[in-house]
Amino acid sequence: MKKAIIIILIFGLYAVSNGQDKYMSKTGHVSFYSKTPMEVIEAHNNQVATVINIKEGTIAFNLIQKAFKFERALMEEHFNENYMESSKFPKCTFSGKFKDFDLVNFKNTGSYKVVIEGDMNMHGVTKHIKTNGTIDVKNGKIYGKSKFNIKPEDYGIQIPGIVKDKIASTMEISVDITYVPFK
Amino acid sequence: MKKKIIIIVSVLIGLGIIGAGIGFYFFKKPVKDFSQSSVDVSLTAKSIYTEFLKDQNSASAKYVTTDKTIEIKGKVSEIKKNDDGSYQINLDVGDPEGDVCCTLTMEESAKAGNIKSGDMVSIKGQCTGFQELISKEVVMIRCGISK
Repeated sequence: MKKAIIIILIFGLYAVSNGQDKYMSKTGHVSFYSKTPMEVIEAHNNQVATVINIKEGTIAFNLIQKAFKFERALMEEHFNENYMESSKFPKCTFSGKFKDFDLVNFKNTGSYKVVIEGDMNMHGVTKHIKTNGTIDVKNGKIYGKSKFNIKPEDYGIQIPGIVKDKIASTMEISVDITYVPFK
Repeated sequence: MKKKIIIIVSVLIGLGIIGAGIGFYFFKKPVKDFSQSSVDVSLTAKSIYTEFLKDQNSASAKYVTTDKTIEIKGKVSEIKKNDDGSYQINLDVGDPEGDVCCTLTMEESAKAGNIKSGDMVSIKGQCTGFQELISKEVVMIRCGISK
């Protein structure tokens, strides 16, 4: 009987610790910003799904292109139909690792500068990227933020000459996520 | 003769102004307000979920690429307020691993306060696709309460 209780306890503890290895969000925010003297283009996606595994130091993102919201209908249409080809390539994914993640204590309140490295797949092209970010651990939640630049041409996205002065050749990507324990 | 030229020139200028106006209208036109527009397709949470589960490509071609206003009927399994103040309503699909996740517009979120788990609702909005990283989820944005 005692043995049984101990076994149950061990399994119970294992289940609890296992459950808290992962933090997630389905309502992460990713935006991009393009600025030229002619035009400012900005779009926001609030439906980004992302998971951090604090035991393995891995991080994954899955983003639906169609969920990017623009102010003007024409911009949104061009983004989905001409540039991203969202019906052919509906998602953008990222899968990577924290560098030196042993230095980050995800369980204690604190603020950390981190480097994340991994593969991003967008528009059918996979690229290895490396970016800086911050991790804030507060009240059992993990707040992750990052800003980095990408070039559309690196992902096989052609911007025609006629709109070259309206769309920047480098886009600024902002990531802002509140991770909660995986349930 | 002179009169004729004046008439032709003024007609051309008029057409030019109208053309520029139409062009400017389309250029500046805001994104379609799915939460207020008339419904194109109406179905239950379970049936749209099953269609995506079976074949994502054909379901996307039907509901996502067309930019139709989709109305989903179902039972609320969860309702919560996002960090930005908008409400998110999850609809039951008869599968504990999945749901239809609807994010309301700010205007519609103001009316969502009295909705609770277990209520039957109709929600209309834009379907953006299927998300599988965390759970299996049909994603709806720009939503409003239909009934």
